[in-house]
Amino acid sequence: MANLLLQDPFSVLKEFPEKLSQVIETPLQSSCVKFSLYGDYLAVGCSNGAIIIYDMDTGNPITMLGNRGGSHVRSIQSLDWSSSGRYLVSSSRDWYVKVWDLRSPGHPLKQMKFNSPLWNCRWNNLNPWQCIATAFEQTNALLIDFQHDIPSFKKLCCIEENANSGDYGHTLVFCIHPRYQNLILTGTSKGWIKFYKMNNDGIFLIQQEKFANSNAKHMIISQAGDKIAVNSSDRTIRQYSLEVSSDLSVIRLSLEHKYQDVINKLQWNSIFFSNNSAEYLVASTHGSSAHELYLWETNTGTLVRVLEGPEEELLDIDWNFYSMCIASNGLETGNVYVWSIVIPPKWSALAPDFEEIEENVEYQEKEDEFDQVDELEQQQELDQAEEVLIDLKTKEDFDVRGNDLTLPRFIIPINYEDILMIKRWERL
Amino acid sequence: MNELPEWCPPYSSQKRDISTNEEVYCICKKPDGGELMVGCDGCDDWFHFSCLKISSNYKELVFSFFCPYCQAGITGPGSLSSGNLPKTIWKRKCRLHSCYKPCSENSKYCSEQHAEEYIGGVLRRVESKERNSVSLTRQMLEAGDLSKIQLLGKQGIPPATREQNSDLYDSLIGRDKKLKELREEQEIIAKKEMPRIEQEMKALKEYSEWLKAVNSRLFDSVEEAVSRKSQKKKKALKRKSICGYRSQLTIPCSVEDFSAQFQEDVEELHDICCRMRCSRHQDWAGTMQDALQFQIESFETSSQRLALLVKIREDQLNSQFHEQMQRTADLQHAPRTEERVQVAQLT
Repeated sequence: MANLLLQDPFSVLKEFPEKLSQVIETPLQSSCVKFSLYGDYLAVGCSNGAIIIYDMDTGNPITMLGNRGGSHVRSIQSLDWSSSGRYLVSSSRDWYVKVWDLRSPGHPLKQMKFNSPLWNCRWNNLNPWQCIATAFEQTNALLIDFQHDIPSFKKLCCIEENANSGDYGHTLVFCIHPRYQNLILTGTSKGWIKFYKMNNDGIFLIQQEKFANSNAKHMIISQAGDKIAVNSSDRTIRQYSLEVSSDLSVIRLSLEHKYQDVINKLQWNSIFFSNNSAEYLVASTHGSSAHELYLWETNTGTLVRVLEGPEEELLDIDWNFYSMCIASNGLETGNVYVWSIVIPPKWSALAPDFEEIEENVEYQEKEDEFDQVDELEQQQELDQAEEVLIDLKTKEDFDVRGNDLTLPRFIIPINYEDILMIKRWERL
Repeated sequence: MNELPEWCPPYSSQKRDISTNEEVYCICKKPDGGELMVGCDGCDDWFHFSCLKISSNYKELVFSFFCPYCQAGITGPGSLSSGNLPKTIWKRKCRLHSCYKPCSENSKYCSEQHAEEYIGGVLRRVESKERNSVSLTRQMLEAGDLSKIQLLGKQGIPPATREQNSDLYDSLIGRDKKLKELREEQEIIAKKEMPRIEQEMKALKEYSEWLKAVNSRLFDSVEEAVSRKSQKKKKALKRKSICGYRSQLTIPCSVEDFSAQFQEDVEELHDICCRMRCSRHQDWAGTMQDALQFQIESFETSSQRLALLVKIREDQLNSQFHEQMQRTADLQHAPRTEERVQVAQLT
């Protein structure tokens, strides 16, 4: 990858990708996409239960999870990489949640069967090996513990809730507050948002609010934790500002914008916030008539860009902030479209005194440009210039876009045995 | 276009010396001095053997010669068409090391005499205390016709057996960790995993049949009664069946008992989901069947894979075994290593 520091800062620091730069052709029908933390890999979940890991540098598949047995057999509903990048959790309509170790992707590392299809599943970074999942017609989200050999789960609910007769519908979506990892927001089929707090004493329901009369399809939260957006089946995306007191006792939610397709009245398939304080919101539309991603500025609520390119309906969206890529999968072909920032080559980065000019310029040399300089003096100057110590070893803590570089980065090992096997098969 | 070799100067079309007006040849652009030369079939120029770094020994072996410029496509046929560039072709050299004459027709030797000399040399090298060249020749001739001799060495290395060298066999093949692991893995799949999956498959099948029986007993009678009334209603009712999902796929009771206990509004009976159109457990049997089927398939492919890996490992160990056998044999008869190898190749 190019050194971003040497590139044109105005291109590098663009806040959203604009150009369709890559189309990853998948042989299967993809249902969801998820980048690894640094955007090196893309996990693509398919409708037949396959999960393919693509290498983003080459755009080629490098491994298929469960190719030695134990893969899902129904549509993948969600995928999530662990913060270490080594483990992946997947949930599927075949009633399983499976944990994969990318060091040995042939078999699932751990798995748990439920008695209904599952929707979303995500790691809960508060506790290692804990996942949060939502399942078909379940009143509450599930906390799954994969720490032990036999995984266990419990419901994300508090005691009072069981006694409470109010019908809030089934929990469909959830998100974890990025700043307060023990604060979990859930969205229900009857249009309620609930705020749960988890600590050593148990699980507490802090607050619940009704946002609409229809079910929540997606709920996302910004990296800074100050904005949430809910996509619901009433064809509206509602964006709220979120204020949380540090002891998690008071939560204030206020509606900022509603995003609707006023002309076609389309539903939204998927939504995603941009990084940091979420200045942009991107969404894909339902229905075969629209083939674009819509991008709004969240402060004003105005549509700033339409990401075009594919000729089919787009489903899931994932936005990686390290490589500034948006990936979205197509409904018909299953191909994954990747938009990224294309930085025009800047030759002056190679030689600092080299300047690019638009057209020929008559050059006027400077007064002292070709003066004879005392050689000794010149040598001294050169020596001095060379004496500046350049630190090549210390790693930067943040990249130019402000992303944390101190997090672990996992490289999926190359399976030489498999490559040899393929060669051998071909020969036979 | 190919590149010229490093030692070759760039092409020059000079034909005559500027000062003397003598004809000049070769890459060195010198007049003919009676030195050994070869004519290029591409550009009709002549070249010194020494300038082209070709040993003069090869003078009789040239079949068709092309100079570096023709081979690079600068001159000759390669420069005119974009097709293949010509290459110098050599005749096959006599098998006798010191002879540089071309082979005569249907032979590996230039003459009968050299053939005898070569074979004699081989036999002398193979000769040992145990066998002299005469007996060896006889042995080869007794092997029968040519085709049998040609077959030797084509079948690969003979398998290592314990009788050949029991210590080496045990330490190398008997105690090989990788081979053992692979065999164990094969064992687990064949003896443990496959039967388990088949068992589960059987249980699922039995349970599905039982459920089908229950469903037909519960609803068929109703259907028949209705079918006389109207065709449309029958179609609607035909799909009526209970979900039947049970976390343990064991049959709780007989079909008759279950149908007797069954009531329309009950959601669960004997842990069995009794909802009519159950969206929660929709297609549970299909999903389960697919999962099992998939597991069977992946076990099949992985046993194929393991079989291949075992084969590769065995081949590896086998050649190691023979190599080490050879080495110990060589140490006993040092320093005639080269000859032992020859023997191994011949026998």
